[in-house]
Amino acid sequence: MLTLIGLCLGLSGCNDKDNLKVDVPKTHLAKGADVSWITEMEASGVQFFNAGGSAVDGLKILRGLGMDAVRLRVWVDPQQGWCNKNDVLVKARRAHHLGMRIMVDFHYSDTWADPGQQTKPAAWKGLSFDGLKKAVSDHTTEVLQLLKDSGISPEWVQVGNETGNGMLWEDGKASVSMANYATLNNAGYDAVKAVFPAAKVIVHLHNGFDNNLFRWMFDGLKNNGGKWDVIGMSLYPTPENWEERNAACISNINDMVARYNSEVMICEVGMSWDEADSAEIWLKELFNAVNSVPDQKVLGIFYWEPLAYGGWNGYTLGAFDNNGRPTKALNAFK
Amino acid sequence: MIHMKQLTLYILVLLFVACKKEGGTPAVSGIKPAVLYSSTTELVLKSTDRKAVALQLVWDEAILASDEPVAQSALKNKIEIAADPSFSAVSKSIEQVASSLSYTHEQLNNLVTGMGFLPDEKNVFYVRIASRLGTNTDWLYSNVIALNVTAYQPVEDAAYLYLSNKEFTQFPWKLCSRKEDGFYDGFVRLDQWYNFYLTNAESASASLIYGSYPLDGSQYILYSGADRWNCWTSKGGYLYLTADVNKLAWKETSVESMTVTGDFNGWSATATPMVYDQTAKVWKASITTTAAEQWGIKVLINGSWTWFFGAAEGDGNCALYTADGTGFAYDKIGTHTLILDLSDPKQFKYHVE
Repeated sequence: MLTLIGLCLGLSGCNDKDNLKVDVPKTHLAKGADVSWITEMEASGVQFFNAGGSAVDGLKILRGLGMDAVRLRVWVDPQQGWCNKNDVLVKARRAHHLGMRIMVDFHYSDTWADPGQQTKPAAWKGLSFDGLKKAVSDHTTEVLQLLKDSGISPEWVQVGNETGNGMLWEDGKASVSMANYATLNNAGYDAVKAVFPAAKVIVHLHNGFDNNLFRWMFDGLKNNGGKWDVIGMSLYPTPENWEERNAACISNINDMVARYNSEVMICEVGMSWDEADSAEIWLKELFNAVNSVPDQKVLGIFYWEPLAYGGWNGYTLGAFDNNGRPTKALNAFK
Repeated sequence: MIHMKQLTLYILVLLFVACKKEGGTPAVSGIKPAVLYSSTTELVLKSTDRKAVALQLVWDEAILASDEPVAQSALKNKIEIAADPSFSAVSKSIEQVASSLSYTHEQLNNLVTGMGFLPDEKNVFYVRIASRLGTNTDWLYSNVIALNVTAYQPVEDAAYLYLSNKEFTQFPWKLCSRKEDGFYDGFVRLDQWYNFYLTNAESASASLIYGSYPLDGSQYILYSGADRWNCWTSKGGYLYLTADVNKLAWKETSVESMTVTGDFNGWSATATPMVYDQTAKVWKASITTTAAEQWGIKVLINGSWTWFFGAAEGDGNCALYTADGTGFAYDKIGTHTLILDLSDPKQFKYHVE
């Protein structure tokens, strides 16, 4: 009898683990994943598998595992087109259709923007500072309007990515001119609000455990009239130091809440895919800890590119194993 | 342990799937045709953008609803592509688990030229999504989108790394990853201590430039950071170079000799050496035969029977072997010059004069 049932289940496909409930009430804490690579991975033939070994839409796997939000990076004019506005729309439409919440992450670059590089888009290189402000505003508006025209409303928009030393270097390098950075940031902030007044604007820095960095930056922004709604953080600990890093991060979060009365989003987390046992414990502890921050001031946690596996772009901090199946790390998002 | 309630649901699902036309009680609702969108409806494909994304199709598929958990993957989708809007003959049908499909210029060019599109002519094809739940129900079809596409003349594509001088003004040699797996190799002639980089384009503005890791003793580590050092050869002369971009390592092996072997010289590994012609960048040897070579001939590198040029598909082609293999065809009789051209590592070639 059980064999027969098993056979029937196999035939009907109902034993897959991608059950979707798209009308689940939103919790205050977003459980998210940055999935910006997914279309490029799919186009190069990468497949994702559920625990049962069936090839399934990677986004549906994440959704089925309890993740209810996606983060999508935007590049201005990337060389191969991936993560340009059209590609962002494709991924946003897929996520939106599955009932997932959306964060848009503007890099204001044609490629990776992070603490090591904040390179201006090629087309913006010759612009005056006023021209740069307008370019930030126009690009932000163009991408968000495209989403709006498709009936998609992001809940959060990141103006700049890991802008621990500003963005659009050299003009917007915070260590050179905090005022310039604040001005460029505000050009993005105002553009977001003009299209989506309800969206929360995030300013996102690396090293969420580094309170000195965060105080330096947000004091600087505040003193220069810089605007933000949410302070964003990245956190990439190791199995050896996650307890210490979690503690420092929570302490930093509490300080950000107290000092600026700001909400906080953990925009990026990751740990080596083959340290899944440690990653699961670490992330569960992190969820517990942010849940204990008073007044629901922490808005969510996003795993960065959990779908990256098998040496994709040399990235090893995903949460899928070498067979393209989710690791235990993602249990924390259930 | 499967609960009875779940079991009932599964049976209902099966009944529904199997008995839809008899009006069985639906256990799953929400099944409807997908809604298809396209990133563009008009595009001119370009060989220069062949690795860049050209077209993205995305669709809102039916979201299955039920009181009990239901696997969304039970819904099967395929993209259908046809030359006519009524889809009387579907040119291509692609099953897809993701609800979008992206094509690079190259992928789409392959698709449409396969459908008979001629280069530089605008043609139209039609695309729709077919969905169904279970194998014995009818397909439901989405809206149809017409796509106007101009194809390009397919170009010989190869994954090359170009060997550049230190100034990026000359690119005298290239390495090829024949399997496009990140392992590149090729034969080069360099002076001792020649400084070089490996680039992905014959240009100073190549998007990828490998040098060596900027630390003493790291000469054979490939590194593309801005603070890279150049690579250099400590051996010089005629070399076999390999570069593995997965392992980020390169290697040089001196080619001390190339010798022709076959029935004509009693399969001697030393009797018929080839001479390198620096101007023409080819290897030459004079061979005298009295009959067509029944097993073909081989060109041994450094006298090795497990590192040689032997048979390959296509006239005038030969392949590099690192294990036993057969020789390449040689059916001339009398005295002729064998010329071996290794300058394009995508395809090693020989001819006889």
